Amino acid sequence: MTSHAKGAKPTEAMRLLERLELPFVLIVFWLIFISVPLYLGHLGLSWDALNHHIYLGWVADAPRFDKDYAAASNQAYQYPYLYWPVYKLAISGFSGQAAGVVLATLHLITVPPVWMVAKVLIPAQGMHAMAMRVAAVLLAFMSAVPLKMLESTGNDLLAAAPFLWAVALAFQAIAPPAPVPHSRITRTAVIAGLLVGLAVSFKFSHGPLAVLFPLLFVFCDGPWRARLGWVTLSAFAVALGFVITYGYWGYLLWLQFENPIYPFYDGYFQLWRNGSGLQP
Amino acid sequence: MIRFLADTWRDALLRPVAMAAPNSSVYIEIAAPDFRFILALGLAVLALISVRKANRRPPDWLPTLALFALIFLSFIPWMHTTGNGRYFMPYLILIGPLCIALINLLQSTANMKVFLTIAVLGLQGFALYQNTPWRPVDSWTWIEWKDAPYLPLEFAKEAIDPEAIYVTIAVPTYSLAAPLFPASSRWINISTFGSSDTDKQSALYAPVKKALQSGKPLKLFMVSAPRSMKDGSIQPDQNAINQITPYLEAHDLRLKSPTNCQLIKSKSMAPTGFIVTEESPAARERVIEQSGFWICPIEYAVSPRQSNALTAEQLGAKALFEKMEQICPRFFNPGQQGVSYHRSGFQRRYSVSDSFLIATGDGHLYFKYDRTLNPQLIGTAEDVLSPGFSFDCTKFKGRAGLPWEREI
Repeated sequence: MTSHAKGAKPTEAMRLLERLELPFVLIVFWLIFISVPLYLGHLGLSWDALNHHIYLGWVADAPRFDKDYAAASNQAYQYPYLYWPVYKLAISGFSGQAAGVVLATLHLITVPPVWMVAKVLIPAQGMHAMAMRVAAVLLAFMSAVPLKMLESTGNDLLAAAPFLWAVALAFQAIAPPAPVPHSRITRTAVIAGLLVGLAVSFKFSHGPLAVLFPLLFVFCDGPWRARLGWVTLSAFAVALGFVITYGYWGYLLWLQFENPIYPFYDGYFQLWRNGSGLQP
Repeated sequence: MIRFLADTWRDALLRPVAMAAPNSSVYIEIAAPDFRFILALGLAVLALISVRKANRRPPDWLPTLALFALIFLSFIPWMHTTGNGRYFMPYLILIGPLCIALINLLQSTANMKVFLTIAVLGLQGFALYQNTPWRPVDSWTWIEWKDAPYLPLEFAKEAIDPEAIYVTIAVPTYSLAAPLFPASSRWINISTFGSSDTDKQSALYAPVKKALQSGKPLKLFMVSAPRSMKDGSIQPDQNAINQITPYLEAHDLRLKSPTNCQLIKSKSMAPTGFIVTEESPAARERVIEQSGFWICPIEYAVSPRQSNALTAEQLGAKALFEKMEQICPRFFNPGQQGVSYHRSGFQRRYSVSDSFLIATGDGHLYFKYDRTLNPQLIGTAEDVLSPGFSFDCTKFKGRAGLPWEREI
């Protein structure tokens, strides 16, 4: 095994191999991902799919507030837009297997950020480091939870994509040893925050995780005051990203229920509707 | 919903260990053992020892420390809110690179790092192989989407009224069928609106009421019950009508009489009907043949309100339930008014904790968790109602303790 971390110049062949590392990882994972629906021959429709996945995609196509009431129970008012692909595939006459292959391909968007994080964690050059990075990405997806998504219409993995990209970008700002310009860290803090805001829109369940995310910028190289600034900026960007991406859907819910996150915390908004003000 | 939340500090702190257990419903409904979190903690200790012994810190330690802190600190908000693995997805993925990065930090030979990497991949791979997430049992899948369309429904388009309002009375709502109907049709799930909405005529319920009173054709849309059809007919039998009626009456609706339901056959629904194994081949054939959905005409009709007065037995059960709601409000959220019948007495459902309280006719109170076979005795009615009665709310059978400590 050869390592070039200590300054030895990589050979031309090694440089070529390193350039091909991400494409190689993507091809391998594409084959792994699509092999699940191809092997099973179907997509599983779970309780959630019977209840709201397909319906929400339909709503994403054209809101139905003027027609339906809680057609998918309270889940009818979840952020619907990430369900549009599965709805479109379903309504367009795709078989479960074919739809599974398309959705598995969409899930590939989660692989590059994981590799980018692995590249920061294991930055050395050479075959050994490359193998470790590939192993890191492989181990990332060796969990029943993300793998289960490849057989179902659930979008938890897809919804996590912006969050993973945000972490990957933040790690570019942390990456040693070359000093990262402060302006670049500032830009990264904003973009990563916006992406986390998008992830929260996709799934409110990312909200609790988003609270800690900006703290990653504490690990950037710079004076403490600057680090605090990046953390604050990133937290602000999370909120802004959420408002921008959730805004339209929240506005529709507000018009309908006077609660932009209906049915969550509706007890508080009930007080507002009753005219007694929004109270804790 | 506290399905995946820990009941004690010990359970919360040991969640990374519990996640390695090959049990279902630990941090997600399916069995999804994950050794990576406990391995990461172990490797972190090794890396710490290794780095301290080295003359200088390895250059890659800071990002690894950042990821370690991010993942394990995120357990706090995660365990405080849901503890559901689907909602921890970013870190269920990033824990993989963290494990390998920690191996990479060790001040050991390249061969040792390769060995450890293979060992970690092998261990997690073994857990995955033994608990494949796509096996048909212990799975999320209710029905399979094989060929197009995703939900095969046998009906003639002209037999469907495009102006109808389709009313569903249960969850799951099967709203996945809605896009296969004319876009002009309307869909309402009335089970979403509880007694507090209907009694108080809440602002949210008002448009529902208006739609139900609009004079447009109203149709009940529900999964057909082949075992509850009249002989030689597709119409619901009296047992089915008796089951359906209370759900409709709560919203001043009723089945039109005589019942004239359409049966929309769906081959996807047939496998969901096979629970009874002692049926004759002919009966099973009938279930397969008549699986699908009923569409039954219903009408708006204010039904005489049944007296809400509870019998003495029901009041006795209610008092027991309310006592437990005081003692363990996290499991038994207060606020329900009624009690339901149970074959041994009365019960109350607490969906927040996936459980029931059952008050038996012979004067005992039981707890029944969804994932246990048998109920757990809480005490006699006399004991439970006595002023000094207490119960340890962290000892409920089926969910108490770490996965390997749980009883069924």
